[in-house]
Amino acid sequence: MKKKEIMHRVIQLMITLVGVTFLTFCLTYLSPGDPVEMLLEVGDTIVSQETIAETRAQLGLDKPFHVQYIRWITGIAHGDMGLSYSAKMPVADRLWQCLPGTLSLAVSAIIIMLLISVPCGIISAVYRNHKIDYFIRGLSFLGISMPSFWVGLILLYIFGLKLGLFPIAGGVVSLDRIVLPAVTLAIAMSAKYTRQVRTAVLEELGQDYVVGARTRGIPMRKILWHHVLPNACLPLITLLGLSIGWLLGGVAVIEMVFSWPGLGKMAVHAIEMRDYPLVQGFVLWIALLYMGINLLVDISYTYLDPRLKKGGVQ
Amino acid sequence: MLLEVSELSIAYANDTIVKNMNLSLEEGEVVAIVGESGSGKTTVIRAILGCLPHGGHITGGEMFFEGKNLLENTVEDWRKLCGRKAAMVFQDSGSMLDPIKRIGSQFIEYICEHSSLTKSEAAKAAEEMLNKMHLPHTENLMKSYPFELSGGMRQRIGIAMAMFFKPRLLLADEPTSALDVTTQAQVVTEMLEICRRDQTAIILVTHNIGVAAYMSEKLIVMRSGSIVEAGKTDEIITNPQSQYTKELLEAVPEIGGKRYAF
Repeated sequence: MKKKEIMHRVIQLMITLVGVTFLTFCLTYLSPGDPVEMLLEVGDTIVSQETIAETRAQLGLDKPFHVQYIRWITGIAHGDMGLSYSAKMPVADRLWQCLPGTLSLAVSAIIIMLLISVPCGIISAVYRNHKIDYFIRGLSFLGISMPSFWVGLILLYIFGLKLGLFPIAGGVVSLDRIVLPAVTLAIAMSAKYTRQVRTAVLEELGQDYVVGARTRGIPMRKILWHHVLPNACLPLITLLGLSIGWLLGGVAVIEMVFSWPGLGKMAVHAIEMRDYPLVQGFVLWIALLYMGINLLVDISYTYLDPRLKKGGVQ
Repeated sequence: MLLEVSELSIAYANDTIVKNMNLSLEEGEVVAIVGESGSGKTTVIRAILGCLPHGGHITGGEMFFEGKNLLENTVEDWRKLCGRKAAMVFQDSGSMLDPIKRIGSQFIEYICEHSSLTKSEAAKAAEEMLNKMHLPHTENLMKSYPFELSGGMRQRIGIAMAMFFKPRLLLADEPTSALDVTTQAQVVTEMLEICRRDQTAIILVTHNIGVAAYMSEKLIVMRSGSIVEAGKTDEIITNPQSQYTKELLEAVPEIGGKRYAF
């Protein structure tokens, strides 16, 4: 992708962003319940009508729709996403608080997943229809079939409760607490990715350039590492980008099972509490995230595949 | 005798594709195998280089190269033979190269695999070889990707790579079929020239009996995996024995009442 095309993409992103923010804003505006009351209510306290009116004016919620939207979007441009009713703090701070949990979980899950699925996928492809291939495919089928919350509970039961190797209660981000949720996520993802890697490598092994390299007497090991794998990576990068987006958006089920302080758990809580500003902030984060990752994936292709950089045929 | 193939049979799964193939080749000799697609001609030369596609296997016969039984080759023996003593040129040599690696890096990788040259020495030698094939701007070519070049250039690069180590045997699988007629003539002439200089024997596989007649001394006509007719090219062209060879010859276009090889 040339610089001009990247600029085009960034402009496209801005337009999408306006659309996303508009829809997210509508979500709050159309939602039932009065945000001011929700913000002021703590326990059974009764708030006077004057205070409500005052706060409403303060927050600008008495203004018409378009004024509110412009205020909200200007706020976002300045990093102000409003106040979270449930956390009683700015939305940006609340998201920022949950980010380390999600980020560390995402990174460790991706690393474990790659460590499992890349070697397994390659072995499975190279020894296609051998015993080891059937074995790996069997495991991957098993991995795909098991729901991850169930795997999480089983891991907690075995390694947390019975063997006592890892703490059961989460709540804080720490090295020993991250192992079980990361492994749980990695199991489900590895099962999927092992198959993807296998398919991609098999596809490349069938290409003419592999025959070409063999007739030039290049050893199979070198063909695999220097030619087949770099080519097989290309289709996998898009998938990996989507997975990273999915993980960074918070994986609610896993975070709930392990009471892991991440964005997914926060989002579920925010929805339960009807904390619309926080839900808005969360949706905006996901949108930004996917757009950013897609852009990065597209840019990375131009570096990894010369056919795209030089504008040749695909 | 450089290569001696006798009673060779090859099957994919349980389907016999090539039946009792016989072929012998002296140093520097050019043999052409002609026949329609699916006649098993490509399978034969793939078998000689130990590169049969997945599921293909030799079910009978013998192959001797420089007196060595090829059927007893280990993986390492094949690797040493391929690209060094016997090399192959394909219909589209460009697609036989990794699409996302530069031509130079693949040429260097190939040279370093079979010699003790350093990378920079290999790069220099590769450029020299491209020069010999009358390719222009060799420095740029080394930095190009296969998709950036025209069919004729790709084919010349394929021949340059195949002939780098002065192999004893060149297996050419439809080397000119993807090219236009003018380029075909050039590539064929260049290939013949370089092979004659290095005393390299050629097995040419083609469906174009015109190209075969022009290049080869011996001709083998194949149909559905069996030899229909074999012998000296001149004799077969002037006096074909089988009906199939006659049909092939008649398929060569006629210009002004005369049939031309090109």
